[in-house]
Amino acid sequence: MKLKKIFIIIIALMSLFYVETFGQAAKKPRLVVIPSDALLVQMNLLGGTDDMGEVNYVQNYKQAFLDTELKACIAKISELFQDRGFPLTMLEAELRRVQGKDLVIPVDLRLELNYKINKQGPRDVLYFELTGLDAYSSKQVAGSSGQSKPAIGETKVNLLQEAAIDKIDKFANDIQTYFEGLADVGRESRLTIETDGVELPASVEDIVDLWLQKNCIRGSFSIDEVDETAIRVSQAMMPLYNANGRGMDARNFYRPLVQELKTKLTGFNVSQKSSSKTSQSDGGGTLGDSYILISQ
Amino acid sequence: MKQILLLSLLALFVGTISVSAQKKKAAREFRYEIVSMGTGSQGSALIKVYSYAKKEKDALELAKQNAVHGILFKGVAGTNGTASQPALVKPQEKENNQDFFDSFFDNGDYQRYVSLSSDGIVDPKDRMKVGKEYKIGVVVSVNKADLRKYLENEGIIKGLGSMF
Repeated sequence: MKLKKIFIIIIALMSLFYVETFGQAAKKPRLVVIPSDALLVQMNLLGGTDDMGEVNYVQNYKQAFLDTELKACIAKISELFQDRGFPLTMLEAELRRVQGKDLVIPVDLRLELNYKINKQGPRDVLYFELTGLDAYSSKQVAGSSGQSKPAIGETKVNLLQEAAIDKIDKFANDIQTYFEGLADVGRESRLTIETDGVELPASVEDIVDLWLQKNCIRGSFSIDEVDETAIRVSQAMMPLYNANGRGMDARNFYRPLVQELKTKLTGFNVSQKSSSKTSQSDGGGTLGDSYILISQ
Repeated sequence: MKQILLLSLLALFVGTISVSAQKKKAAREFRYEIVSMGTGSQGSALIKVYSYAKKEKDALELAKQNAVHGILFKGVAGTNGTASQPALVKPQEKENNQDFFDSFFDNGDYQRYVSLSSDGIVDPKDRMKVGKEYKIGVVVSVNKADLRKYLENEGIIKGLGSMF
């Protein structure tokens, strides 16, 4: 009997040790190198459609990846990240994966790539720019750019790969600082609450406001928009780990809010989705984006 | 009386060792300037280090340790055509692991990550007499990738994906 108790205590301690030791991994963001619109314009691969006088741009990424120089540059950036123990998600492979399916490519951090070769007489000068953008806050979290020394007779691939090697230290350092900052101030998240057309119950705004004040790190968030059918929240700082020390994304973070809305809104159905249609079309992933639908 | 004398001698001996150890520690000073020499091969940094010493030969030897010290703690400013290189070790990480870095330099471990470029040949423009000292500029290559991995494996610095 005594032996059984000791055995149970040992198992309990081991479980606690497991959660403490291995449960401390935050959800890993997906980093994707994406050719910038400025680069696609140079390649004649940025189309446009007229939407009531407003131009909507359409990026032809598939065609862009047939360009050897672009592929070589992205391959080098990816190789350098892999060398640092952080493999990137390859956009080209993801485009193939979702082809013909009604799927979107989740991106948490966009690494936007732009470059241009300018002529100085017989010499080539490469302008290279790599920008890291948080998909949920649209804030720049990393950046490295500059011109190469003038070169004669160098291939474009060589110039691009050399620029990637030159810029990577500063860029990776910025990303590292950003990651370490997440542990202190939390990850920025967005929340969209929408109805299926019915008027949003008046109490929802107060419930959401109070819940965010209580659960966001330092009570930090912004309610961007409130109308009859929707509430849009941004800059809501969520912790990286839950109370059990497990990694958390926006879906986990807002789940208790969904439960609270379900309890308090009688006569309504409340359901949670990973991300809204808007964020999907923006290329946003699920790590920092959540969507709640209220219907009758 | 004899015991007191013995104890006094012992105290003096211990004190001498302690002072000598401190002097040895203080002797390792890092006085140098670093400039980027362009983009090195993948994973390495090509830099010119100006070191100060009373003998020219000593300045050449100091260049290696100064180069590694600079890559670890100072970083290298960008020049026309090259980006800046941030320091591998943050001030807090340095402070928390001072003993590790003391032995890293004292044991000569740093030498595994640095090599003199052009066999250490010094350009006449980079050999200067400053007061009673020589200021010698040497081009060296520091294997940053291996150095970073070593520090990550030793738990001194964090890797890019360490928190995920």
